[in-house]
Amino acid sequence: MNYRMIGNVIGKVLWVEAAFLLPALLLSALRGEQNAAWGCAAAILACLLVGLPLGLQKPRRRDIYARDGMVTAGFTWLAVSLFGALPFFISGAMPNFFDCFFETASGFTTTGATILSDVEALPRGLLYWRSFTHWLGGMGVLVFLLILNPLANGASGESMHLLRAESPGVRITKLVPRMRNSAGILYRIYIVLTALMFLFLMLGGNTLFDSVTLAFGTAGTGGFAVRNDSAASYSAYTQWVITVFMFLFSVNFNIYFLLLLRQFKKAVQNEELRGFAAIVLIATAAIMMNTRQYFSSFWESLRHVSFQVLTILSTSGFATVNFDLWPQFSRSVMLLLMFIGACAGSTGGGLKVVRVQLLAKAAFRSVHRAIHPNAVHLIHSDGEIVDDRTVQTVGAYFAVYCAIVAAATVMVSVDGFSFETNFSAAVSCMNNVGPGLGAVGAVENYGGFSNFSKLVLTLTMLIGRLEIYPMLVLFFPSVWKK
Amino acid sequence: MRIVIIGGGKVGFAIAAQLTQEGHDITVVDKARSLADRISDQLDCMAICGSGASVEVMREAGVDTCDLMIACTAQDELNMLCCVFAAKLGCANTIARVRSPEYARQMYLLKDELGLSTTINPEMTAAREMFRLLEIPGVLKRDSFAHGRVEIVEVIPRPGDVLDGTRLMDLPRKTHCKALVGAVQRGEETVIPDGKFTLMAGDKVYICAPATEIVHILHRIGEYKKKARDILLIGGSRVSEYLMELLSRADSRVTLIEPDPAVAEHFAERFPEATVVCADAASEAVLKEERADRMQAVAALSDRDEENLILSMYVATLGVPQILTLTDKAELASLISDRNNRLISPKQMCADMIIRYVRAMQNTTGGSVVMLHHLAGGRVDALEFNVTEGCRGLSRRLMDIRLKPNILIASINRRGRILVPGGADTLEAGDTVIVITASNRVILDLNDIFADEA
Repeated sequence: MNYRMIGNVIGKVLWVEAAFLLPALLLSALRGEQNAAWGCAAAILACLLVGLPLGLQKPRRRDIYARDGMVTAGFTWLAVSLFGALPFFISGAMPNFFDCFFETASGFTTTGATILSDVEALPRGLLYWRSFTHWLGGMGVLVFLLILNPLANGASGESMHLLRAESPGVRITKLVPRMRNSAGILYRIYIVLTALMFLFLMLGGNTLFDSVTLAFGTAGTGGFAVRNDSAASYSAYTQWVITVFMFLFSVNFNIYFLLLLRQFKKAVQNEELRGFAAIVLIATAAIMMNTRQYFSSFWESLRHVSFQVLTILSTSGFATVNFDLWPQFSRSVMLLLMFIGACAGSTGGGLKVVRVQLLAKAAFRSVHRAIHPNAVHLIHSDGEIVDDRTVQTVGAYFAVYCAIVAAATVMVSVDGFSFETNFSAAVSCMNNVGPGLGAVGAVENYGGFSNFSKLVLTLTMLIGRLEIYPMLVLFFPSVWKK
Repeated sequence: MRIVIIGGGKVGFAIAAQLTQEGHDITVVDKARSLADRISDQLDCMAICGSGASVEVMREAGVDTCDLMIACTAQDELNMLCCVFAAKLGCANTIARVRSPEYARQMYLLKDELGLSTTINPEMTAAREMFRLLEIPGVLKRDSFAHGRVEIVEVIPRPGDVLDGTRLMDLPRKTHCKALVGAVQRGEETVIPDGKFTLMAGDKVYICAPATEIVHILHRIGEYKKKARDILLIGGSRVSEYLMELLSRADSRVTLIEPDPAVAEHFAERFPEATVVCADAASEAVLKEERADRMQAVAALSDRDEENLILSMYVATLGVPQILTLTDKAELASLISDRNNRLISPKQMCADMIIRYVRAMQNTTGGSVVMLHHLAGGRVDALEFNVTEGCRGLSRRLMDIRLKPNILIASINRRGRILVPGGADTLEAGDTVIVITASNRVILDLNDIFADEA
């Protein structure tokens, strides 16, 4: 394994983190929040102290392979979460480091699960940083670094392994020949959409701070809010804006590129997009029927239900009403939606719609095979044949995914909460949603868990965000063997 | 530059790999999903699965807007068809791989009709290279520049010969020839040396000299061997056919061993003067029977890389003075310990040709790359440039010009006369020069070699 190269990349990631901590430092200083300012300054210093020697050392060889890419991605995310937690810890806003680590990992992985019961008590500078982690984590830290700094000049096979390890989805589709340009296009789309949302929020009469943090939280499909009641006290207009943009950020960004290329037909016919829209519509309709008596008018019902459905499906985790109080049927549907998640190639988490579709097709095929043992049955997706290897990979992914959810549930159970709480907490963290059911419901928080459980859930979030393998390989002895 | 490559096989992959290294936007089209996926996974380029001759797929790959299209599928006809379609779609530059000896001979008739810019024929290129090596057996590698007037040859000094322990500035005096050492590979390290550099036995030395001097130099350094006349070819591949055609015009006695009776018959028909043996060369008895140990040169040319390698290693133990091995597995070169054994990779040669072409296309000022060869296992480039009026160092003595570090002007060709440059020489418009540089620096224009005068 090319340790020096891995160190080099992680070092540079820390430079990026230091640079992004500057606005938080500035905001804290401007608002006279002394502790927060010190916290940010110390974190920047720490990033540079570790990052400069790591990033400046010159690796002898620049070649890295799939394994190195995975390990780099895993360590990168651990590192940004650990260093990103420093402002909270040093400023004294959260005295327990496990809490800080949980909160920052929750931010970067765009989970939006919090341990804070009183969010508004946090200094503005730290609230800004907390929301910003969503924005950076949504699209990916390594992706951002690679756009800035083409790791190997000219030879960029290296960067591919890094991008693949960090980007969610079954496989990476390239928009243009160069990976770096592809990533650049995606980030540009991301920035434009975020800016658009910010404008809409400002037009709705929200304050600058609210608009910025909400835009960051929605763009990364994170769900950290700056108010204790999450999104409940915003105007109906603002809630609609958030709903629409949660949908937009859950869509595969390649669709937007197709739109830019004016290939409207291809974009609209995308199977995953259609599947996602269908899930949104069906779930919203079903829950609206089930919760009729909770809302006074159809429009109010539509607004709240579509907001909750999208907040779960996009894996954001805002809330306008407490869906934990809904009837059992609706709660079950919400739990199911947590598993599905958003589209591949979006900022959302979860299993991804395309995987669910492939699993469903494979399941259908196995039934078909039982009836026609000799039938040749190929699985199609978007008009192309999906090879058996990919189908098997998705099946295996699902198995590992379930195993991790089960393991996390069992480990968290030591704290003695109800099964509903433990299971939904594990599912919610694995899929980077945020809220669960019971003691971790939409208006509750994760503060009640023990340090051990918090650490387990933190790792679960990271595993979920990186789609299991980059984190999991860190624990495999064979990866480290010389 | 935007380049579309049709066909992602061995050659397509090698070309795509080289061109992405040089920073171009590459899209590869291949019919096999597994190949397209492999390319997309391993290289920083786009891969599209589909038929390269389908206009729809070509549009998707951007053939209509690309700067260059290279068709290198396994089928010659398909490649030519791709080029016709690409030209119709508006692609200005197309390259087709045409390998069949029949087509290759009559290609010049069709070039314009097909809208082809050039054709590549890896097998013929490999055969030419082998033929040139057979002409001067003492060298391990031989690259020609200036229409064959200048050569760069690779030699390894033996302990105690005239090169061992010689400082480069003393070289002309000791060997009495006009020659210049362009690059030296010592162990893992490769240097572009200056006059104070001292050669040692075991170095790989790249000597640049006028073609007329090469034999003379080899005499001086004791590497000269008589031109091989008795040549044994193993395997009746396309390369063998091209090579035998070249050899049949030279004065050589060729023996070919080929296991397939039909193929053997074809060769016997085409080359009546050669001895064609229908047998499996992998058997020791056959090789002994054909007196492989008495041959002056043996070339392992079958279509199976591994077999070629093993056979050539075996033949080396018989003490054959010159061995040529056809293999696209260049990474196995380290297995070959014998200094007389030379690996030839058609795939790599073909990729080199494309790079040369692409660099020449990129060039804007007209001081274009005419020729490019890789030395020292690809770590050093030797490039030939036209000197034009736009050259910054025009009419100034070389001793007054500052070059960027690690760049050497190895030869000047003035209207067919070859100068080994000294400090008092100048560059004039109309010359061609050979520049030697480390390959991690991509030089597109002759002006790129001059140090910036601040």
